[in-house]
Order: sequence, then C-alpha cells, then structure tokens
Amino acid sequence: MRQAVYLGMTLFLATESVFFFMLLLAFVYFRQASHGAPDLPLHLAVISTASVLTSCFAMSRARAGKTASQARVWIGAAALFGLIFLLAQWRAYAVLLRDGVTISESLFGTSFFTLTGMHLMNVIAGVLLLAGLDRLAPGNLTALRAAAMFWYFLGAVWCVIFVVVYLGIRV
Amino acid sequence: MVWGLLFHPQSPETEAIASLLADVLVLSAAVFSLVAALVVASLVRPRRARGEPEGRRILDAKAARARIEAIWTCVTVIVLGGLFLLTVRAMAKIDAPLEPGTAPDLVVTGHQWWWEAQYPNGVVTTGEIHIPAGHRLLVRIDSADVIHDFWVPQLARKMDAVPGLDGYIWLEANKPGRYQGMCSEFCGAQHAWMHFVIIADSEADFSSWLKSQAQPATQPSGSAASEGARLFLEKKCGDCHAIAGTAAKGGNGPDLTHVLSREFLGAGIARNTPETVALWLTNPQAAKPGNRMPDPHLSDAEASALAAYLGTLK
Amino acid sequence: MSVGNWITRVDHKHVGLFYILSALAFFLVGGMEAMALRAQLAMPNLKLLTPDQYNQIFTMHGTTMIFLVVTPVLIGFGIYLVPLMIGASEMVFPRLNALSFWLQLAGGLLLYLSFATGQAPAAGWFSYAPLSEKPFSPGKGSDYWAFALLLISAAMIIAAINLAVTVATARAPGMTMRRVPLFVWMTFVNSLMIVFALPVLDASLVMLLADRLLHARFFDAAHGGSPLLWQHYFWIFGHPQVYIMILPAFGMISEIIPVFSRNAIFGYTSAALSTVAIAFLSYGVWVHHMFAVALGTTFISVFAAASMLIAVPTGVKIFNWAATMLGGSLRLTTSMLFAVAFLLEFTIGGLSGVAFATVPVDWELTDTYFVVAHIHYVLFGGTIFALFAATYYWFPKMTGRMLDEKLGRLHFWLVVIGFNGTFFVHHILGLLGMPRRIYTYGDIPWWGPLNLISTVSAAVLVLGILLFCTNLVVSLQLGAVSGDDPWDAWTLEWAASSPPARNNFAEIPVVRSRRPLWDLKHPDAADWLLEETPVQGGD
Repeated sequence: MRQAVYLGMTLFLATESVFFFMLLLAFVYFRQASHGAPDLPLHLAVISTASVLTSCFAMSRARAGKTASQARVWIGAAALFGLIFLLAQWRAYAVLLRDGVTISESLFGTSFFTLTGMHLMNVIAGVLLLAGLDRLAPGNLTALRAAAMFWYFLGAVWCVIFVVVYLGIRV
Repeated sequence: MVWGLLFHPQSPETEAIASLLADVLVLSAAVFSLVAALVVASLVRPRRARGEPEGRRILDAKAARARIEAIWTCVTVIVLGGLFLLTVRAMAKIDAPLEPGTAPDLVVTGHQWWWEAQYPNGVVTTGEIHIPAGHRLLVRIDSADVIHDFWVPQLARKMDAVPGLDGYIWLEANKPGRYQGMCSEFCGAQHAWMHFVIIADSEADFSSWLKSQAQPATQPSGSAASEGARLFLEKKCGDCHAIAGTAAKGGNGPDLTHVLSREFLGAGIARNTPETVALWLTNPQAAKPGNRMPDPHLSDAEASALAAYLGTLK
Repeated sequence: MSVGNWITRVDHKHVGLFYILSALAFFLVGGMEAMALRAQLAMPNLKLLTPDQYNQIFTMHGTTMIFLVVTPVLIGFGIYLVPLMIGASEMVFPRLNALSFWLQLAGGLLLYLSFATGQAPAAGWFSYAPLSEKPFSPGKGSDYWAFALLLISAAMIIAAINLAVTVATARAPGMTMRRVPLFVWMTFVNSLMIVFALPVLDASLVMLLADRLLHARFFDAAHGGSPLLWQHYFWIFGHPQVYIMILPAFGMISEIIPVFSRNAIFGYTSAALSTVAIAFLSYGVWVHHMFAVALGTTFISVFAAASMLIAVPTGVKIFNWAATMLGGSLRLTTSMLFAVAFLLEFTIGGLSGVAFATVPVDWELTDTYFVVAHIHYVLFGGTIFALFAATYYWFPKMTGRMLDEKLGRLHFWLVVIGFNGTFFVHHILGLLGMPRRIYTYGDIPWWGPLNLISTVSAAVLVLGILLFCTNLVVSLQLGAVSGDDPWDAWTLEWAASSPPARNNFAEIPVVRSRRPLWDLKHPDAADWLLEETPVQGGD
C-alpha cells in the first residue's frame, strides 16, 4: 500500500508538472513576443523563496521526526512558513496592482497572474493539507511522506517561477 | 457552376490536390480490400476438425510470426514513405515559395459573416470577387474578428483567416467562370451563410469591371433617392457601411458603393432583390438571424426612401 | 438497500457500472441531439432549428459524446474489469475511485445545467478562441462548458492514476507485465496518457476562463494575445485524447477476437508495444489539426510525417487481429460480429485519417463532412462498435445472464446498416464541398438527396440502439443464466463468479502464463509448458 500511495502521488505530481509547464510556457512565449516588462518586487520574491526553502526544510525534519509530537511541531513550522510565503505573495500582488500591473493590462500581467495565481491556489491547498494532516491521518507516516512530496513539489515550482519569472526579467 | 473539387479542379493547384487525392483514395481502397479479404478468408475457412488442440499453432510458430510481422511493418513504412514524398512534392506545387515582401494582389478579410476583398487600386467589394482568368494571384487572408476559413474548392487550398496572423495563398482559375466559395471554419451563428463567389473574367472584362468599381457612387437623382442618401447618414448607416464619394466611411459592415451590382445579399442567404433589400432595412434579424446589423427602426417612408437610394448604387 | 447506502458504495464493480450506466444515459441524450441535427439537415433550407439552437446542439453533441460517453465508458469498463483481470480484489484506492465517478457525473450535470439558463455553449467541442471569448460568446454557455470540463478532467485524472497504480502494484502472483491481458495493457497505457494529456486541457481552460471572467488577454489578438495558442494547447491535449478514446477499445477487441477465434492473440508483444508507440507518437502529431493555418511548409511537413508514422503501429494492430482470426476457428456470436465489423469500420476510419495526414488533401477536406465521416468511423465504427462487442461479451460476467442473441443479431444488422448509411455518404458530401457545422444549405446538386439518405439511415441507427437498450432490460430479467465462464475464455475475470463476489476471488490465483484460465482447464496442454523461455513468476 505504501508503494501504491507514493506511485499515485508521483503520477499526480506528473499531472501538476505538465499543468504548470504549460502555463509557464505561455508566460515565456508572451514575454518573448512583447517588449519590456514591469519592475517586479524582487525583495518580496527573495523573502518568498527563503520561506519556501525553510518550509521544505521543516518538512524534511517532520519526515525524520522520531515521535508523533516531534513530527507535529515540524509540520506546524512548515505550514507557518507556507503562510509567510502567502503573505509575501499577497504583498507582491498589492505592489504590482498599485503600479498598474493587472491581469488585463498586458500579456505580461495576464500570464504572470495566471501562473502565480495557480501556484498560490496550490500552496493554499497545501497549507490546509498540512494543517489538517494530523486530523486526517493521525500518526500515518505514509500520508506524511506523500504530503511532503506535494509540498516539496510546490517548493520546486516556486523556485522555477523565481528563476524564470523574477530573475529572467532582470538579466 | 459545378460543385465539388474531386472531379472538376479548375486550377493547377487544385489539379495537384485532386491527383494526390485520387492516389490516396486508390491506396485506401486497396488497403481496405486487403483487410476485408483477410476477414472474409477467416470467415469462410472450413472449421478446424474437432479434437485438434485449440490455440496452439501460434505458440508453436514464433519465428514465422516475427517474420510476418516484420514484413507487414516494412511494407507499411515503405508505402507511407512513398505517400509522404508525394505529399511534399504536391505541397511545393500548391504553396509555391514567395519572395519576401511581395505585395498581395488581393486582400481578403473574413467578417462575421461575410467576406471583403480589397484590390491594390483601393476597390473594395463584398462576396463577389472578380479575378482575371489565367493569372496567378497572391491573396492575403485576414480576419476582422474570429477565425474563418477562405475556401474555393475548385480553385485553391483552404486557408484559415486568423486574427493577427496573415495567411497567403495562390489563387488562379484556368478559364473564365463562376466558382463557389464558402467559410470552412466554424465562426458562429451564421457560419452556414458565409458564401462568396470567385468570378474569373477575361482580361478585358476584368479591367472594365475594376474600372467601374473604382468609380465613386452615383449621385442620387429624384427626391426619394436624395432623401434616402440623407437618411443613410442621419440613421448612422454610415458608421458601419462605406459609400465612396459620400461621408459614409464605416468599415464594420459591407461596402455599399456598388451594392446593386451584386447578385446576392447576406453572403449567399438571398438574391439581391428589392424585397430582400426591404427586409434588411426593416427587420435585419429576419433577413439573416444573428447577424450584426442593429435594427435601424425606420418608418415605412424612411425605409422606402433608403431602398430607393440603395437602388441607385450600381 | 437505502439510497444513501447505494451511492456510497465503493466496490470497483459498482463504480464501474455507475460509469457505464451514466455513459449510456448520456449516449441516449447525445443521440437525440444528433437526430435533431440530422433532421434539420435532411433537406435544403429547413427551419426546424434556429442557427443558434443548431450550434448549441452540435456543441453539446460533440462535448457529450467525447467527455460524457466515450471517455468515461472506457474508464468504467477499465474500473470494472482491470482488478478482475489481474487477480486483485479491489482498486488500490476505492474511495478515490468513487470520488472520480461523482466528479464525472457532477461535470455532466453542470454541462447540462447550461440549458436551464437558456444559453448552452455554442462554440463547438474544441471551442476555438476568439469565438469562445466573451465578445463573441457573451452568454454563460462557454463558462459552463469550461467548468464542466475542469470537473470531468479531474475525474479522469483521478480514475487514471487509480487504474495505473492498480495495474502497477496489485497484480496476482506470477502476473508479470508480460502476462497481463492486452485490455489491461492498453488501459494502463491509456491511464498514463490521461495523466500527461488532461493537464494541458486544464491549463487551456484556466486561460480561457481567465480571459472570459477576469478580462485577461491570452487569446485576444487585438491586445497582443494569440488565438493560435488555444489551438496549439487544445490539440496537444486533443490528439492524445483521440487515442484515449480508442486504445481501451483496441484492448477489448484484443480480448474478444482471440476467444471467439479459439486462438491466442497473434503477436502479443507487438500488440502491447505498438500501443506504447501510439502513446508516444500521439503527443507529436497535434499540428495535423491545424494544417489549414499559415504555419510554414517545413513545420507542417514534420507533423505530416509523424502523423503518417502513427499509422504504422495502428496497422500492426489491425494485422494482429486479422491474423488471429485467420489462424483460428471462428464462433460468430453477436459479440464477435461487432468485433469483426469494428475491424472493417475502423480500417475505413484509419484510412481517412491517413488522407488527412496527406497535407494537400487536408487543405481541401479539413472542416468538411469528410472529417465528420472520419471521426464517426473512428469513434462510432471504432470505439462504439467495440463497446457493443464488449457489452455482449462481459454482460454475462456483470449480471450472470446472457444477452439475447436473436435480438443481438437484429441490433447488429440495424446498427451496421444505419451507421454506414448515415456516415459513408458524409465522405461524398465532403468531396462535394459541404463544410461541417453549417446549420443549413442551399439547393446544391446532390447535397439534398445525400443528406436525406444520411438522415433516414440515422433513424435506422437509432432503432438499432433502442433495440440494444431493450435487449439489456429484457435479458437482465429473462436472459439465460450464464454461469461463470460462458465463452470458454482464458482470462481471470472468468474464474470469478458471475456476477463476481464482493472481493472477486475466494482465493488469489497463481498465474504462470498469459492465459491462466486455459492452463487451469487444460493442465496437460498449459501454455506455460510450451513457452520456450518461461517468464519467472513474481516481480
């Protein structure tokens, strides 16, 4: 059964990868096709990246946790840094909207908000999953590891977004 | 007018397509006959004698099986390879290469639900497109709204009219005649009535047609027609329709400068008769359900004045 | 049994039957829509439907048949049969399995809710932008369409993951991947295709909804967006989807033809490998839906070559089936009749597919009735015929009763005559220049009579399908009791009782060859005694 759960999660993440790849491709295509891109709040993206990495580290400690209560603490930490990530993203959106970068203002805005918005919705689902994990499957190591796979995956997607969307523009 | 392309291609391009199509159909018939023969053979084969162990033969003959499979696969690959070469050859003939920067001889724009053609000398016509027979024209295909597809089965390949993307085709008719065309990409409510006609003229006929189309609209004579000309602007018809030589310069609807010279109205839905014109003026949605023309809310007197005016636009 | 009890069942056999029955219901709805379309086209200039009604109905017909009938019914047969065929007692995730069905049904109901608002989607089943964008489709129809497809794709992905993981991890001892029945192979490959293709549709739908609801600009050419982006994305999903709708049917035929030919399948390995080849190639042929777009000759040639190449593994399959029949001794049950007819009808559909890979032919015939003929020969002559064969074959396993053979034969002939009469003339109409999706046509030589033939034949087809439904209902009550193994078949589902018990098998069988039941029934002539290089049991 453990094997089945990991395989199932792997296939689900394969689906998610294709989904994000297509949105990222649209973003890159429109960035090539249009000229210029707005200034993005890089400092907020750096904070986001740092909280993602910290959160993934906490998740790895949770997986390694010897007792259920240890694991619970680390999962809580992972969820907390997930929340910090969400706050940083919310702030970044506010800054962009203030500067007049909206989803309908340009193709950049269109593809940027769609890509990051879909990632954000996944992160919200991930935070809720982490918060509820102990209720849904108390002490279930397989469930914890599967949740960790999902969480690392979202971290990895963010890192790609950070490199392609935030750094790609600056270079 | 003969419909259908298979038996009556009327240009070098469609002749190439028709001959390739004939090859494909013959090949398909051959392959189908082969499969059907195998099926029939297995149906009429005498039933194997009882007692012979079922389903063993194949297991016994692995080597033979691999050989048969290899042969079948190779034959398929060779046949398809040949078909691919024919395909590439025909494509080169139909989509002959284009010097970069060549100006098109004709620009055709798809609208919901009618076709506009623009000539280099500025003549604009709707739905009935004249070309000189025997000349290969470069046509640019555009769209003003959604995706349409420009298709004259007997004369040319079809080409999607995609907003923001220019498509080019070669359009040619071996001899004078009328060739039916239609929109071939679903484009909304009246996709069915988005016909057009390519009218291939002799050289002399074509240049005299072009010259007459280049004339501005006839000045209205008589009180009803003059009243109609005034109403045309007052009722804002000119916001969508252009009439050369007047203040009406709209581009969303068909150019009406020479509307009387057309055989059909509404992209093929009805003949161009006074009754049709009256219906368009008084109840456009009845003339062509779903079309983009707003009801101008005319009184009977206004409608007949406008009809009188349109009746002068030869 | 209370309703609550009934809908919370998670047994894979119940979920599979839910899928199959709901698909049957939607099949009848989609069929009525088709009849409405055929009635409107029966003669020139008819006014039975308004243009807008016609466009809504053909959009609903296409969307229904593809997303609510063919795809889910194949998944349903997979969910019912795969655990039985691999000697498992259940799918690995039974509750997710039930969830997938209810999501699927919710998607279907949401789609049909659009009728209640008076605005069904009317932009066609592939909803090309910008026609599907707000300015050109201002009603709510396209929103219903997009949300319904999102639900359905979620259902498909969940079911596919479940099937793939079940095949990968729940096989009986000795059932290696070189021994699983071909239906299982094809369902497995199919599930992986769903996992990789459906998210592309999801991405496209999210972009369309962003445009429609949030005023984004993805497909808005006037603001720098790209209508072609929709086409590329939709067909990157759409062409694998075409194979998602046929591969499991190939699997069914690969089970049925050998049993009724009393002969093991000719070329098990090539049948399985050609499926994998089709799966890979199907991701590299999408542009053949866009040959009429100005994309450049070289670019188009590459996709033409790939599209022709995909005919090779498909041809291998046809040959495998024909050779199996040729080497065997046929029993012409109704199921086998449909399988044989499948072979011929699908060959026609496959060949007209090759015609569209021949680019200049596509430049004339795409978006004409020739395409309508092609898709129906593949989807109806192919998949639906295979599904009729499968129903006659597995109905006894599912219910414990045989379907009536006399009614079955009548059903068969009505369907064969009705189907070919309806759709063969569409080839000719295409060659005569009739574009698809037109709500009416003028008085053009031959169009009227050919369309009338098509409409009359469609009525015959409907009669055949009603007879099939009658057969289902009558045989369920009065059919001969079938026993566990009425066809003297070889795969494990026939080792279970009919209908199978809750956990399928009292005892998990040990598998030593591709035909475990044959081995059991003929210990002296067991396949595994004959295999030159016996595959070791276990993984």
